[in-house]
Amino acid sequence: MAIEAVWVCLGIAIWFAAGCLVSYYTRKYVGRGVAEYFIAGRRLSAFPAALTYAATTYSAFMLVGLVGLTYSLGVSAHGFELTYLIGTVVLLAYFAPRIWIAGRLYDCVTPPELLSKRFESKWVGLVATLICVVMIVPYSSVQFMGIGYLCEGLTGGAIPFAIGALIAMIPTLVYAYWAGMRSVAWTDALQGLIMITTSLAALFYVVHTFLGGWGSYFERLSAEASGLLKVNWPLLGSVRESYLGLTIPWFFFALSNPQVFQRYYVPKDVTTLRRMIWGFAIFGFVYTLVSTQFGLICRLLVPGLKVADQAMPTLLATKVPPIVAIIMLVGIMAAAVSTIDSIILTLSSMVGRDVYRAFRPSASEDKELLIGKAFIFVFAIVCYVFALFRPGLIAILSAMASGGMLVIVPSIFATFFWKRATAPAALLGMVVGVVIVGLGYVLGVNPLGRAFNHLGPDSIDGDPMPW
Amino acid sequence: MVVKFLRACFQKYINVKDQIKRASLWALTFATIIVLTFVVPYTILKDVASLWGAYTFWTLLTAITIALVCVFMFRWRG
Repeated sequence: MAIEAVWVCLGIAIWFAAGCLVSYYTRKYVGRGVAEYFIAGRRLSAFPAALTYAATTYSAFMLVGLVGLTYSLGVSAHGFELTYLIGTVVLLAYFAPRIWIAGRLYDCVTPPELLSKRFESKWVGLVATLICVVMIVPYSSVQFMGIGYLCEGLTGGAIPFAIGALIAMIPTLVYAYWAGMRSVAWTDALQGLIMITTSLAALFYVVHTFLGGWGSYFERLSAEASGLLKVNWPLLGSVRESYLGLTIPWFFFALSNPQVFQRYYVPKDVTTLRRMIWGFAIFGFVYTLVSTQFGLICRLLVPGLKVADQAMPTLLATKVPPIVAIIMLVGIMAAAVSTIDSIILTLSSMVGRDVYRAFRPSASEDKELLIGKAFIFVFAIVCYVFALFRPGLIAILSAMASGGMLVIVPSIFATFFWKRATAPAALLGMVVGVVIVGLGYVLGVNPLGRAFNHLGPDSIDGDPMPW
Repeated sequence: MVVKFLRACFQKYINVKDQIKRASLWALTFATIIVLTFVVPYTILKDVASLWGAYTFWTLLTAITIALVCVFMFRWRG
């Protein structure tokens, strides 16, 4: 049962218009300078700070990939995502105040800049920037792909893949370019609210309409899919990614990913930083519960799917009324866009600061800003083109991304907890790390299992799940 | 009198020692939680085919961690 493309377009248009209004409103408050554009002048309040952190962290993976993962592996997927959340809040408790203070003391705008200043070497910042760009651009293009597939699937091909991906790209570009971090933060706040309210409302609707309420749903779950309630994801293994293989890289997400790291600079004071972490933790907890519940529900309502990532699209296309499906689609799109616009903004600021300015210290701040803004377009278009043509390299880099980003983490630990760490040590750590990750992937040496890509285990190469 | 004098002399040292002890306790608590996250579901709860098994354990442990981190963050000074 396909949904009329016109209704899908209308839903997306309303969402985009609301985002544009918010973005336009925030534009009035943007002052001059790089810090003002890329980190909102370090003056963001708790509400947008918490929601931009949450919306940036939680992408379309949650309601597509995680639902698919729960569909095939059951509660283990719930454990994986909550272990990630535990790791994140603990790391935030220790690192966020240190990064916040260091950012102010040393006037840092980007995450690699902190490393450059700590190790007194622009090469450290450059290598960190290159690693981030190479690893995260494919991850972003996978998000565009997810939206493209979703639009195509829900409308029965009336909105083709290329247009679906383009529909995600345009808001990304507008929100990131219009007013930088201020626009991204406030539109993320809107997206975050859309994500949580639409997913919660849809969950309650599905449970009450199709499963006869929570009691009946839990009874059916125990009777028909009790296997899913056991811990049946191998802790270690070498064929597919094991539980540890996926959990360990994600555990350090709060430090390894620059788009979330940059958000530690933006709160206006310590109280705001504290509230940002509270808000994120509560959002993440609720959103994870909702997403994994959808995975279990899909197993009851749309059983027997060969490709687990199709669980949510199939549920939306075949079970729920079009209006609910469109609302959910908008929620998933909000999740994807809120992640990509943050990534693109952060990467652009890194090109301006850690590549251009670092090697041309005499360059003006205006020139740096101009280059940063230009790269917002470059990254958005590159991500879209990658999504469109889907070169094989994208699948490889996307799968390598979580491990690849992890190589920056030791340098971040050393920044704060190892006084004697030097620039050559940081450089060597990152370069050797990337070489090992690359070689491991090319030679097929995967002690913790083969890597998943970021939209779930089988969204790029399309091979069916073995579980 | 002597004890009071000594306490006054070493007050700074005692405070630092207390702080280190408190910080270690927090670190140990978080480390224990992280170990439990992996160990308990993969040993005791591995074959419990119920929502009251690993699912509830992970959910409660996360809620507890969030609450503890909230308390931990009150130590931050402005």
